[in-house]
Amino acid sequence: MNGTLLLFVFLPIFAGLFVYLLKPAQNKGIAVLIQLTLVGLSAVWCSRDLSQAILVPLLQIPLPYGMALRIDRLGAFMMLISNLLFFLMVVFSFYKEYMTPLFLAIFLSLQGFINGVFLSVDIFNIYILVEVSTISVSILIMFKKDSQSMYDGMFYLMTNLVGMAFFLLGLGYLYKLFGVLDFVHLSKALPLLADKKALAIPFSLIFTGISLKSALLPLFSWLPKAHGTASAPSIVSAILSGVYVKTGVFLLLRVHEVFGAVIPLQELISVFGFATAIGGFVLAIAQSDIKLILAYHTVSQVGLILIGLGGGHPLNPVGGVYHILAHALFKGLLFLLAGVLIEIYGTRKISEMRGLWQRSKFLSATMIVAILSITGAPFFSGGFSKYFIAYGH
Amino acid sequence: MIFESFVDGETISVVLFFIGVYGICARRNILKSIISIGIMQAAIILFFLSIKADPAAVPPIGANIADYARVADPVPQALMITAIVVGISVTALSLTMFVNLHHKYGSSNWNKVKRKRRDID
Repeated sequence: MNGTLLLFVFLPIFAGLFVYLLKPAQNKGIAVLIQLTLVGLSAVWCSRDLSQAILVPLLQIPLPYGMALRIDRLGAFMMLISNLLFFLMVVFSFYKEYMTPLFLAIFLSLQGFINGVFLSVDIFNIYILVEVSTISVSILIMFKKDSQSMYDGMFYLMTNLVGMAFFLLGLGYLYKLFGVLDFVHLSKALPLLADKKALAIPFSLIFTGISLKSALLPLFSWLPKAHGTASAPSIVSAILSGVYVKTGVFLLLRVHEVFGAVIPLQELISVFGFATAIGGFVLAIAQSDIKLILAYHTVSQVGLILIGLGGGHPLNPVGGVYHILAHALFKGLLFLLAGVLIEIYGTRKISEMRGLWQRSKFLSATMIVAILSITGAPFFSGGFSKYFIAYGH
Repeated sequence: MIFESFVDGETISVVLFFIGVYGICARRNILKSIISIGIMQAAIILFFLSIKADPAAVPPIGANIADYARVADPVPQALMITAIVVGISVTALSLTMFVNLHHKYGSSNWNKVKRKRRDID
């Protein structure tokens, strides 16, 4: 059973290569089959008792020098979300014309990289996986090669490269101090350090990289361009908003695990969360483009998740993690609906979209469900998570 | 000389890194942005190679390593080989994207490209 963890990373990547190189007639069928397998596997992993993290060594050498995969509750949960969303996206776009073998190859390998980030135990592995997934995301953004998406993809690539360069430099300082890069030994070694001030530089560099990845307040200008780009397929926007931003939040949680014992992060996370949430809401109200509204709303939801994670009551972080799931579901649904609406009305201005109920009852009902969830109405997933985030305040 | 004591791999790499950051912030040419990212990556590689550098250490190759007191740490080199590979592919990708972008907009200035993008909208 432990060996199946490797499948999460390798199965999508090899399947993508297989589809691209051999171009079988049933390429979409293969993709759906693989997605189903991965969803099933991650559901099985989620149902197992993971209160103790399970380490799966990849080499004979033990950890500080070897390599390993680690799965814990958070990782299994994130993997279930990401694989479920990827499965739904492939099913949604089964008959779209942009589902060429090349698109499928990049899309599937992106899934492998994201799963790898959730399973890594090594910060350097995380750096490599995030860098490579940045490349595939920027190719997916500019996949249609429309005039707007060229600029958006280029801008996304450049900003994220700079952010990850900061991350890597911080990692170098960590290696200089401790000589290890895996979470298990880092979190043991950090409290033993005599001079705690030496951690300031590596922490701030790593935090800069991660806050760019998770689009915190001063560093989110790339997100609306990347997620709201007019010409990218809507499933790419849905994946970016639903899963890919959450890898930044996931990295923040991992960093919190490692540095939390030495540097008090709770307040920092709350402050950044409040600022990001308010900034995102204000900018979202000012937009008229339906995709841009959703993209800016993602910024504010990341802020909400951080407010939950930084909350003082023990239920607040639970709400934050649950909001990752809720946001992935309703934002994915809303981005898909936005894609359909843009196709129906031929415009992206939300003020020109009228009379959906007359055109399609089913679409309107789905839209109402998504909107109720996004507003946090009672008995919808967004409502429950927001209740937990606000609990005790 | 107090100045010479600062001239080591670490200091130079940090200075180089922030030269790269300056290039990103201050220059509006896309090509220069790509070059600046290259400078930042080179600085990081120099940093990793110089943090554990020790002229007296021997390479960790061969059967009788245990005889030597100081053996070089191979991990930073191994990490940096990977980082170099990633850096090269990233530079290649951004140059390819730049070529496409230049064909589309006919400019290599971020501001002009942004203005043209707004006009198309």
